[in-house]
Amino acid sequence: MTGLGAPEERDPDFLARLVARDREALGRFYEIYFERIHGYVRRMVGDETLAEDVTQDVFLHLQRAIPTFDLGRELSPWVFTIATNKVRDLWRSKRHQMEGRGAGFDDEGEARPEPVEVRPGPPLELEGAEARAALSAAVEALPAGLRATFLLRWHEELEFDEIGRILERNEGAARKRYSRALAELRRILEDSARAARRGR
Amino acid sequence: MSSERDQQGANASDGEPDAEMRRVLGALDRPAARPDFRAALRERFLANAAVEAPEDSRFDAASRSPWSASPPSGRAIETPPTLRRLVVLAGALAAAAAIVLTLFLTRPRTALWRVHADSTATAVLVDGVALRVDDSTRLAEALLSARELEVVSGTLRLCVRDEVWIELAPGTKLSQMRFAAAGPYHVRTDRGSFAVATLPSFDGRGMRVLTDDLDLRVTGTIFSVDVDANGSCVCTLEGSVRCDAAGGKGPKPVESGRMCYAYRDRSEPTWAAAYEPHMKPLRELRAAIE
Repeated sequence: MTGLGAPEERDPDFLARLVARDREALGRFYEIYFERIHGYVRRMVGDETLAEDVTQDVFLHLQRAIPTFDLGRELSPWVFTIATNKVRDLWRSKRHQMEGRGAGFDDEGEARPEPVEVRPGPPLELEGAEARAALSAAVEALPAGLRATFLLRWHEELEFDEIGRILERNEGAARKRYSRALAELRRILEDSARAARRGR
Repeated sequence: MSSERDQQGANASDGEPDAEMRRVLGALDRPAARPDFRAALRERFLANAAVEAPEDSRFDAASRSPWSASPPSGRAIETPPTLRRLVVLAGALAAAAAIVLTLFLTRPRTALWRVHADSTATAVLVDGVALRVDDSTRLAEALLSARELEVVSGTLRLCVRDEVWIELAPGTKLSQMRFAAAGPYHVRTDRGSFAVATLPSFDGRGMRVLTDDLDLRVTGTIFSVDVDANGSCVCTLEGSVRCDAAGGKGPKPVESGRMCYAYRDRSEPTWAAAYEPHMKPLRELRAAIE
């Protein structure tokens, strides 16, 4: 995992100051979450301008909602629930749908036919910038439901039951989605590696 | 799906990635945001933080500084003239510092949004909260982080950062407002009539105005957007607006004295001479701010 969970997220004193809208605590909160929320939203909406709009919506919503945060809850799942809901609002917006860019967290992609013969794939041999680009493209090619599950687990290290609540699924479904996301990523990356070899 | 193929990349036992996938996924970065966007949003996010309270406002006689102790009652204490002058000087400096600090703290918050004296609106909804227009301090504070602004009756003219005047006709509602310190301004007109007049200091800022039917990019101009039941109309009085209209064939400029009407049903937009009823308020706005 590459999650960047900060110790403050579970520090009762920090959380109490945050709820009291203490400027220093809010500043630290912003430092902890800005890159994470922007990154999550950017991967979900696939466009930087939209990502900025949604990220701003998320933080302004958080600004108003922080005084109501229940200190008995975990902070990150609460924050990413709000971020996910803002992405969902965007997808449901009239303009977005009119532009034919509709998407939804229910999207898990088409069920693939069962392979007749299962063979081990080629090694994932992309390296460096090539690997990062291929990986980034592969993540963005995932169906939205799998992509959100993958990002919330891999980057944010949320538990499956928390991811399930955020995406309105149960824990088992979230776990299954994560496995599917990993399998799908592997398939896409293997295809990229094959294509890269053919091009050399 | 539970085939063997599905499990590739994940450990079957716990659903976590296998060692090879972990190595590959280690290269996955978070997309980076623009630094000016990050900084501007931080400013907005922290704008309404609680004012810091003194560390301990309780009176504690035992820990009180001896220099602030009151003289015993009934006995006059003669202060040497030099010391008295120092005390007076220190007091004056402290007062001056307090005034400067107060001016510094209040300047940006009240100067960012300014209501024009000719505005006839008496109350507005800022993020759903009703505010009196004549309570300029409170209104300016609320607009600092506002995402939505609605004028129920009367016309509201506002100056933002001394860079742009905006005018909202009665019944106009704006959303997705972003008037940050850095980066282009951004606003969506949900309904009603919204006029914009940029000032010389707007140069280089940029502005994006959206409706259901239009996507406008502005670099310096006087124009209006009117949203009705059938579509959206943009009219330009000065300069030009880059207009991407629904149903159109890509962005085109709407030059001075011209208009574009984009239809809600996505039929081909109308590009024509400006619609006079929309131009009249623009001329009035221009006259009012000159």
